[in-house]
Amino acid sequence: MTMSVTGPTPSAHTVAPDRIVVIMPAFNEQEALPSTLAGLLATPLPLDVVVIDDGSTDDTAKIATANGAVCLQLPFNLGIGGALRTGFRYAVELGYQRGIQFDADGQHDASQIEALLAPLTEGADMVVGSRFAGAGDYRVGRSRGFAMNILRWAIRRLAGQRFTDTSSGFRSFGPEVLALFAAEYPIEYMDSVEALVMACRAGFDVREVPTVMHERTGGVASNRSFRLAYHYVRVLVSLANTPKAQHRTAGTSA
Amino acid sequence: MSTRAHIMLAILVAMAILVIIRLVRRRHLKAKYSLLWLTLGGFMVVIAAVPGLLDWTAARLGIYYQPTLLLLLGLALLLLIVMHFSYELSRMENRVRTLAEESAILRHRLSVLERLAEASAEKIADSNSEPDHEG
Repeated sequence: MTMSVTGPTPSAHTVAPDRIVVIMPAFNEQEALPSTLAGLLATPLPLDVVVIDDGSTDDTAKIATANGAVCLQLPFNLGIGGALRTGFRYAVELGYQRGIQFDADGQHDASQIEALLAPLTEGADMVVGSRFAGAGDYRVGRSRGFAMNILRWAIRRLAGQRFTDTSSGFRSFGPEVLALFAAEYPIEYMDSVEALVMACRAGFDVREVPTVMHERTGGVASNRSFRLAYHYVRVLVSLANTPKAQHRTAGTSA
Repeated sequence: MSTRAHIMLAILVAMAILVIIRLVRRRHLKAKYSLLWLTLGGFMVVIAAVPGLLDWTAARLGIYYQPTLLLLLGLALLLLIVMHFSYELSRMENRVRTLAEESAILRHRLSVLERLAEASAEKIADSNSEPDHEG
């Protein structure tokens, strides 16, 4: 007997087609949330912010709802991948056609969202905001840069496409990629890299745009070295096992 | 094996089987897992009951130190069981994870419904008490 987990089903109450869902995983981000949410709501875009409270022990949920966001409270900590998938499921259930992945900790800039959305209207299925493709002055350390280069090489081979920033969590998605990620999203740490390869290998049109990012304003960056090394190896192994499935005929050539 | 070792083994096997049956009857253990352990128990019973069997089989397989055969079989079986558990665990984790996600979404949607119900109940109450009031 095989019983796979089924994907979400659209509900009867769908949102207006122009609304854009902002998926924001948050784990103990009560300090950073108010300014992050204020930044998003200050834009003229029709954004609906969904904060996924990933089992926080602080007032993340309360602060999210008090600052104009919808809050989905997970009963326990699932990690960023699980929180993101919750957001994708919610987006699909409510029938959102476009989605943004946005960090709660303030490293992403709401003013960059329009640049991130632009390629979607030109036929892209997913857009990655890159720290290294020209805009801004974000820096990483040397050893981390080296590890990222190897990863970038592996991804280039698997995705068949060059990306300058594979771990960026600043992304936008069209309806088909939202549906793909709602059904299956890599659940472990470094999910963003896996998700990127997954979308490419599924035959989606994935593009990259240069974006400005800030240093983190709150929370703790997840770069403890042992854990990072373990996940680094794990990602390389699991990337090699990403199935190649032609989800649809290839879109417009980039 | 000496007679004393044999008796020891027989007692241990009998106890193990009794524990398994007890767990199954109290529904602490699912039947599919109990089958696994009961098979193992049955295997042990045969080995304990027929002293020459292990030696004979080992000789047939070209194994000169008989306990090796027992260890080999035991290890192989345990490996299979552990693999099976890993498989089950992955499946369970996947399901628990999905349930958690669903629960978060449903919890939110329930709260939206509750707020709507509350608002409409107030509206009805207002219109009943003050028909002219505009709110």
